[in-house]
Amino acid sequence: MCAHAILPCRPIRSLRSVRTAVTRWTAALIFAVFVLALTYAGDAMIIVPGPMHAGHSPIAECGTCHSNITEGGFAWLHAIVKPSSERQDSKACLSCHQLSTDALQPHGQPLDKLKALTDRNRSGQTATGTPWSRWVGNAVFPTARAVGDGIFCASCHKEHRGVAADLSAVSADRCQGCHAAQFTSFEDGHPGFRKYPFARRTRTNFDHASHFGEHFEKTRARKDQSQQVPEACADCHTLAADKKNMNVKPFETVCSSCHLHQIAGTERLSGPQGIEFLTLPGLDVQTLADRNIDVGKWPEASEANVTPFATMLLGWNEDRRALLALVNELDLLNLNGASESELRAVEWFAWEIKTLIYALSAVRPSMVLKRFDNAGNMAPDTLTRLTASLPRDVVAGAIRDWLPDVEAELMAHRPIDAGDLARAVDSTDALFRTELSGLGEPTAGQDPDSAATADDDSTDTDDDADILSEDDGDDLEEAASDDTASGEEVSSEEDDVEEEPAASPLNVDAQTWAEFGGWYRQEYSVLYKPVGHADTFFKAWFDLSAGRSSPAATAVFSVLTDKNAQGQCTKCHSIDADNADARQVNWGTATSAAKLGRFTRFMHEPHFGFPDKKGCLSCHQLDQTAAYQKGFEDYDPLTFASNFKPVGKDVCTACHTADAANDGCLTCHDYHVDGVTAPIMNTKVPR
Amino acid sequence: MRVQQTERPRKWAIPFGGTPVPTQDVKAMLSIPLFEDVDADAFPDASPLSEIIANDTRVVRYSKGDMVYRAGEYGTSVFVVLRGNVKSLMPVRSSEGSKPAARIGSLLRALTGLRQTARRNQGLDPDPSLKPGVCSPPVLSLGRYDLFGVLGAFSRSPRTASVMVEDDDTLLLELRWPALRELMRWSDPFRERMQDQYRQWGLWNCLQGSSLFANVDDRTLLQIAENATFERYGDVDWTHRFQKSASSANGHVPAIEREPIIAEQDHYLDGLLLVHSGTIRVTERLGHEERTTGYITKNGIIGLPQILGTAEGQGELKFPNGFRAVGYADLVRIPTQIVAAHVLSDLPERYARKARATLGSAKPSAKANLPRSYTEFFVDNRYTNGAMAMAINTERCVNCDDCVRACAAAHDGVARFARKGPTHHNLMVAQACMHCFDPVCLVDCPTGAIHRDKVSGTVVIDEATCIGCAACAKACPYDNIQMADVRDPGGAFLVDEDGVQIQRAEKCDLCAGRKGGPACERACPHDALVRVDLRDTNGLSEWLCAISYDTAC
Amino acid sequence: MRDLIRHSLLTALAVAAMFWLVGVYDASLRDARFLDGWILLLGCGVQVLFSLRRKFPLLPLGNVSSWMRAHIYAGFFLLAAFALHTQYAWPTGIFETALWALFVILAVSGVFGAYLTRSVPSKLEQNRGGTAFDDFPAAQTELLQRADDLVLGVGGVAASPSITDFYANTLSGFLNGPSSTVGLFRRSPSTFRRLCEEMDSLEKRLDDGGKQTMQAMREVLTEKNTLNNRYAYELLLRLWLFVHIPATYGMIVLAVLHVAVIYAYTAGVP
Repeated sequence: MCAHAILPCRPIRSLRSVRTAVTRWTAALIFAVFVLALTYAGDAMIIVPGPMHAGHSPIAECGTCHSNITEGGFAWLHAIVKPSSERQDSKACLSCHQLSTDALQPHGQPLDKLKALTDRNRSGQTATGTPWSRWVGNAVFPTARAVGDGIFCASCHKEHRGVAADLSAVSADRCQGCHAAQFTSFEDGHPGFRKYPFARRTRTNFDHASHFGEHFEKTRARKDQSQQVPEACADCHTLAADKKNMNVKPFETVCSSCHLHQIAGTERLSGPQGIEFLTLPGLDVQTLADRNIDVGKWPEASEANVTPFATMLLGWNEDRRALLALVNELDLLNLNGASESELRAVEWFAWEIKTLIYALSAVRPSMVLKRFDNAGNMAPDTLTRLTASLPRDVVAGAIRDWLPDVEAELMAHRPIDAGDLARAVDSTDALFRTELSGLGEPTAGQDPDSAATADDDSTDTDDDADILSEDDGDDLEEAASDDTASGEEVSSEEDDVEEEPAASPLNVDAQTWAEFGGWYRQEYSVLYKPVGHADTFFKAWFDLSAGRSSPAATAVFSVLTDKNAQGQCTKCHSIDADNADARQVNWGTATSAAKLGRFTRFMHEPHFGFPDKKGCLSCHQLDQTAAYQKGFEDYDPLTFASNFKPVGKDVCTACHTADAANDGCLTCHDYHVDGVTAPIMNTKVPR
Repeated sequence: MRVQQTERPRKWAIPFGGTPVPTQDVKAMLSIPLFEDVDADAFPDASPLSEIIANDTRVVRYSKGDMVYRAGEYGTSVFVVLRGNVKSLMPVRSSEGSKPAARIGSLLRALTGLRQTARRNQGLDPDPSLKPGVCSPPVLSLGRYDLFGVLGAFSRSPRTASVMVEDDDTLLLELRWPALRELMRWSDPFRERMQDQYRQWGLWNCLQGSSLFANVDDRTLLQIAENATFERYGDVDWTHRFQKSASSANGHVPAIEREPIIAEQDHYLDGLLLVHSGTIRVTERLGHEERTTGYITKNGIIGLPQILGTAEGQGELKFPNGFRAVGYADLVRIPTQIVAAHVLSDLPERYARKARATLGSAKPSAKANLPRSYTEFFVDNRYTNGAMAMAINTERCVNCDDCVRACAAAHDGVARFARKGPTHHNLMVAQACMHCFDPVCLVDCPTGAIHRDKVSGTVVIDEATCIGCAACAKACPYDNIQMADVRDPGGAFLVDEDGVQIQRAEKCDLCAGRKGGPACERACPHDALVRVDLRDTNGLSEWLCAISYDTAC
Repeated sequence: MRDLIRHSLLTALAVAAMFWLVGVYDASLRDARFLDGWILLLGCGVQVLFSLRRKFPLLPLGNVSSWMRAHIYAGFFLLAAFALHTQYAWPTGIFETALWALFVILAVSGVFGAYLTRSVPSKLEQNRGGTAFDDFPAAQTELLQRADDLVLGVGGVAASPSITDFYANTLSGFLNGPSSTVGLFRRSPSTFRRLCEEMDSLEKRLDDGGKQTMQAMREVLTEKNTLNNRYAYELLLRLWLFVHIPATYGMIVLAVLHVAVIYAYTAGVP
């Protein structure tokens, strides 16, 4: 046996193998810590990449925005194979942030609009010099998908960047990704402006050139203390609350000292100052009697014309409009040659007029007006404005003077006309009857009968009426102008005669009496004189007739827009129409709301206080030669010539460069052109 | 420890020709003129002449058009024509004056004395198909009993000519190096004849291969050759002396003084010296001390500037430096008057320019921009022999041993070098086979197992024929060959009948057969290791510089 | 030097190209964090491939030194990619902070390691010696043995009591002492210098035999000091990898989890 014990071989681990072991353990430990942390602390605690913006801090669950994450913990593992879609997640944003229906389209605009704009931009001045990085970007990372699929919120708004992160920060480069016009910078390559900022004529027809050069001079020369001439631009223009736009000061401040009388018509040389609203038209009573047409008592002295307002109020359905058109064709003061059916129509018309006049004193005006608003979509106050709070006494006085027995007559008269000639009686009609009957008169039972009765005669005239209605407008216009002409003669001639019924102790005529506007009656007419600027009666009738294309509405519109029309509203307020059906009177100047949807934004406020002495004229240079007025001859707002020369890009680039006053896209362009309504609350009132 | 018994590999277990040459053929061969004066009785019993002939030679049959070997290939066999004819084609001599190599064959014969040994040659007329022309190579036809391949065999350097077989059914007797060595060892006449051959071929090859004589026509060249002498300084056995002195001096290099002097500084310059092989140390005397300034190897020329200068009446005719043979050196000496008469008039422009430049400057320019101390380090350690030495930049090496691991991975788990070795400043020459220009390890191998790869010249050991005699390991002056225990594929140690471990010589094989070169070099992550020709000091200094942060580089 | 400049320029160019590409990607209405994130992850993957390459040196896939160079420059490139990916901001979430920290550890240790591999070899050069790293304990034992032999007088005369005393109280601590990386910077070289000075003062009072012993002892001490320095530097060269490599795989684990989380919570791939 050997005395020396042989020690067993004990290998020493090399540093390398220790390192390998450390490496494996570290990796395993890190993985284990991750799993444990996730198990006990949850995903919202562990894997959330960072705090959200302060405004989003109430959101506690990942699944609120990440629509595919349903639970905490390890649920996200499942989500790897069940990814959410950008659209789905964006809807989560839209549940609080209100945007248009096309919210996820580029700029939140409908595709056809975008297409039109793109086409327009391609056809006009184009950008120059696509940067070569964009060439590569277009080729390698095309953005075409974005237009079709939409651009989603998270494309630009990145969350989890901290409480105070700017969620709407976007680099200017990103705009170029989609845009057909790609360029290096605003200064270099950005397309030039076209007619900026005048995309259309001004809504108010105000000729700066003629005012500056002519009217102001004359007024100054007149030295009338009551008539102020503006000295500075700011006398008329003022910065809007949004600091972007320049608003025009109200009419009362800047226009009325010279122009109010034009509205009131006090200096009017011819024609009545008020507009005829309701008349008892003159009828050929003799012929009617001869032909055994019973219209009840009808003053033979009346020579008044039918007003388009009355025609419109009466024509609340097709049948009635046809009848009214037929009647309008006739010379009511000479019915000798009229046919039987025409006379029947006149008879119907006479009774309708009587009913209308009576109703206006007997039932609420809104009930009267509601009948022609058979769609029922007019607000009660609009209806009220259409009669401009016509006082009952004016109508009552008219009834007393014109048709003293009308109530009895109506009770006795069986309104077969409506039954015969109108095809159907609608519920409004029935209600009207009910209201009439509600006055406590015993004819209540009659009306439903007549209402229920349908007649064949009306169908006979139907075709005729349609054909006639074709050129109705013109005739009516002529008729209206004739009317005013004749009315003028009549009024001047018969002033005294007609004074008798009014019998004022101070001996002023009704028109003079209504010096500040309002209702008055003259002869067989009830007239309305505008009560200053922005008269609700005129405005209501403008708005009503502008939006309708029926001959009656057109007739009303023609009367109102006539060059000599009372109020002379359209002398300044322009009318826009893309087609005859949708005329629109521009009551105000451009508002911020009107500028929504525009892609270019100019903020006036920061540009004030230029060292330049020229001030507003730095950008807005008067163009004396422009045919400004010509732009208002038609209804197309796009054919125009501005009083001011367009602002060129060079004006902007004088300051707006990368190293001066910022040339980023977002300086002048918004992505959300319609604006974003910040969080909306759908909280219900507690019950 | 598992052990597997097996038969110990012995010499001649695998004869050169696969099977031993039959006895009657051996007899027939011994009768050819080459062996006519070899005395069989002089041979020891352990290696009788007949066994040498039977096992270390072979008869190879060739067809017309076969190449026996090509110029540039490595090989240490010598051939004798037994039947048929072969043709030796030397590479065209680089010529600036484009003189046709006219009738070079006969000139060569005149020079090498082949006429005597080739008495039964079919004629001296050159092959009619090989008309003298601008590009036609010098051709030498060899017939029966003519000997060729001596130069390659003795110098272990690439073949200088290609040999093509001219006739079908040509028979060549091929003697591999061990046979040649043994014959020379035991037969004096044979050795003398071989050495004579070597000198003659060496001289001619030296002249023929040097572009110095590009403008000299062949006849003049022959005249030069007739006057030139082939000289050897030192001997091939230097390696053993080197090892002995290295071990006795405990790592210190031998004194310069022990190296054979070729020429002393300021002695009369009696001729132009052309280096045929070996390494020559260039020294400079400072007081009593002799300092190394550089070294000269194959194809180097000594004395040209001085001869040129004297002819132009400038300077003196004396050696500018001292010259000593490092180990051994073979060189050709051409007398000064011959050079003046035949060479100077037609001296190629670049030689003249260089010579004048050298003469103009006080000292011969140092060979490289590497500091002189490196040169001394290389010469002292005989690293000038290293063609693929492993150089490690110690300023980069972090001792991660990735090179060793890579080597092990490439060689069955055992690394074939040690990451240590003599270090000079930041350069370590690691103990890995340098694949020497003159691999002396080949000399003593009894079986020819260690040999140069025919094409690349890489020194490799044939595992099948290595008998583990350790001759090569002993011969290696750098101790870069190790004797390794042999295992079977299962990992068991192989022992012979007596239970003695069987060993085999192992050394770096430059990862022969693997793509991408040596694994050690490729595995170094820090650019700290390269396999380099240590003579290429420009490349070496470039490498040492390229990875240095020394701004002087 | 020229290579350094060329490669640095190349890296800077690659960084610039990445920034540019990410910019273009972002401008094309995509989420650029996906692009630079993938660049970062794939880059890290390539960096990991380097360690695999080192494990299989025989594959004909180019020199490991080229890989190393690429590894270092790619590391700097990835630092830029990391800055881009994190938007130059501190991390906020817990998970992201962990990932961020691991990357930073990885990067810092990498830069430190690159510095070490370039600077330490010349320090080793100054403390030259053939000892392989694994043989340090043996070398230390051998030195101790030599010192013991000197004092005990193996093969000669035993040392005087003053030497024995000095050895036991002052020198043996140093010769026995650990040679740690931390120690290198805390202790050396003042300890060694102090010991030498003490030896000098002791030597003056000794006879010739004692002086001889002290000379031999001084040699041992010097060798020990060299050994200490070498060991410390060699350890440093190995220890930084103890940070770098575990951090690598730890970060890869978290990075893969990060990608999984991102793809779970993202709505639609850009």
